[in-house]
Amino acid sequence: MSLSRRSFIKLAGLGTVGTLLCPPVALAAGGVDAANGVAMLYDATKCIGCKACQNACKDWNRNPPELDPSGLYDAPLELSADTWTLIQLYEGNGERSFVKLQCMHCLYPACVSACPVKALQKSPDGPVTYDPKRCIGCRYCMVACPFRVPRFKWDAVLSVVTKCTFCKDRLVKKLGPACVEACPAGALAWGKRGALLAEAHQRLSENPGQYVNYVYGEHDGGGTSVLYLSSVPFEKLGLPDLGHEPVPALNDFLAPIILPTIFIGGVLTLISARFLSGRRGSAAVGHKKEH
Amino acid sequence: MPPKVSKRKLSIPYSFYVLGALTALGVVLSIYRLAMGLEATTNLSDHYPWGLWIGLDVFLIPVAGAAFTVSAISHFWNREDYHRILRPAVFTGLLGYVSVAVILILDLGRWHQFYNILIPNYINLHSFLEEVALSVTLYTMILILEAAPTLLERWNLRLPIHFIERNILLIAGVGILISTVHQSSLGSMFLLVKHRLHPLWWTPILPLLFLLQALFGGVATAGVVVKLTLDKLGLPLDAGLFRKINKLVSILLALYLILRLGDLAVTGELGLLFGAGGYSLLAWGDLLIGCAIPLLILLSRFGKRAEGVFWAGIWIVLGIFINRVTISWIGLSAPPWATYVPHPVEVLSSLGILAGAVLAYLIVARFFNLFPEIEHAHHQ
Ligand code: SF4
Ligand code: SF4
Repeated sequence: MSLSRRSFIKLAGLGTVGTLLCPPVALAAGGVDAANGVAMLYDATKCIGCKACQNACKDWNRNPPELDPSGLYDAPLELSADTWTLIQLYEGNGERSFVKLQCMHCLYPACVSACPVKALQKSPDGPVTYDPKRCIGCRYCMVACPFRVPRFKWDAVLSVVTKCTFCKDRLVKKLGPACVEACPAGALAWGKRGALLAEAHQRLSENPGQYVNYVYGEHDGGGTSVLYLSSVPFEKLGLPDLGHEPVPALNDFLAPIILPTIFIGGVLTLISARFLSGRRGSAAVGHKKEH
Repeated sequence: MPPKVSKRKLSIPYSFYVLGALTALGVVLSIYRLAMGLEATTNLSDHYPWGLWIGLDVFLIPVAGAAFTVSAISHFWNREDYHRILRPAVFTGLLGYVSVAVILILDLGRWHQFYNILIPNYINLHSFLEEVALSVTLYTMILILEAAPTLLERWNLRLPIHFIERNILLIAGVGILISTVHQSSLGSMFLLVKHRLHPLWWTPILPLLFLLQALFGGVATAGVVVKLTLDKLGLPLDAGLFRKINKLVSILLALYLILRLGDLAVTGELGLLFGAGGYSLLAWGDLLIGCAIPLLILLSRFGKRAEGVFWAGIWIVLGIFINRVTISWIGLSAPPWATYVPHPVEVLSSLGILAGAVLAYLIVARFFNLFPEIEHAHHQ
């Protein structure tokens, strides 16, 4: 009796539980060609807060306004199913800055790792796309996105996930993203990510003192396709400090190995358990007459 | 009626009507939910994309682990005494997983294409949710096979029974492997939300913690269910078995508690047990209710008796509830202005589904033979 209980603990420990403790290591480089993918640069110091980008986005995507109490203005307070990009104002410590929110089109998107049915995908040219024909509406993407970008159309019987598309439907027509083309102040630019990064660093070096000396999105969370320049610390603008490791690194490292490890460990555990207990001569079970 | 069924099994007790009414309400509300959409029937929002339903699912899965744990000990560790409680454990598991599946469907915003999780070229191998969803589907079918003989023997359908019994090691073995994988994958799902889950709960060893919870939680649940059923049927309790359950659960629970505290110590987060307001309180609830109290009960003299194992099991299940609901809902950060209190439809539909599961179990316990060996010995 005690022998076999000991073997239970030992085998369960070695075979299944122990193998789970794989070292958390960063994932191998993903398949994205970061430098040549499309990207966007938002320079908060140039933004005048006119919300032309926000309205252009609504126009192009035929999203309805979210009216303020007077019923006169489209005045969304946060990203929503109807508002895929948004200008917000930060004011504090005598500092003041606008910030533009939208999907960051991450190089290593957590939403893409999360989605069970590949409704969200990273296209090789940069944008992270969404396919409602695949989506089951589990909302794991909303929980997983570190920028809290995906929103849900709650008021529909069959909901959809919504977010900025990087105007993929305009890119195919050789048009730029609607928001970028609408900006009257030169705060937005789009193009290849490599070129935009060079441009951003050039602005930093030519205007020292005017900016926080950092391009947000270059490495954050593994890198994003929307890059930010600002005079105000990025955290105050609501851009989280994610470190440089890709957000889904641990997930993507474990996903392919955990299943085979447990299966192999489990099969060995079960077989040896059966073998050891059987040899001890305890009563065989499982083939009882039950009538 | 077969002669075996004694008279006490024939009257329909009052509780059946209550549970039946709740189940009917659950069915009506579920249909209402699917027809009306999520906004009309839930208080979920962009800031609380997951709520009561997901919380319940993440809680029920380790509880339904009663089936794979007892099945493993009984079939592969050849434990005669555990084999005597295999049937109630399997039905607990089956009804648990069916509840999980129904609740999950209610939660899905695009439930009409739920089958997409099965379409091969849609399957995302990086998604632990996909792994869980596939496993739950597959394992529910395995549990149906494992449970079938209990039902089929009532009508003496020997052919399918013999087929299942002949292959029971294979069927049970695959079920155990799938369970081990998805019980841990359920924890892996939350690795991805490090930026959002409170540090008292986020840890890279989540998959291990979830698996351990399923092991001790599953066995403890089996103990609770078996004690209740035997009492109800007026059958004798096997004191030796409950002592064994005590020992197994205490060891796994102690290991779990050490890992929880050790993890907080290693990451220097023990301080959060005090300074983090409501979260500190939740963590204390989680650790005291789910670990310390049941462990003390199990180690006491009272804990060696069936009643002790029963009460320890109740605390353990409660603790798992607190822990899992925190990880999948309360512990996920939201802006301070956002609130979420489950909508009555969320609450009542969940109650109805759980009532349905309990009712189904009671029907099986009353009209079928959950304890062939014990009944046999008892009536001799
Ligand atoms: S910002 Fe969020 S939704 Fe957009 S690609 Fe990154 S993870 Fe996905
Ligand atoms: S809600 Fe849709 S897009 Fe988001 S993870 Fe679930 S299936 Fe994928």
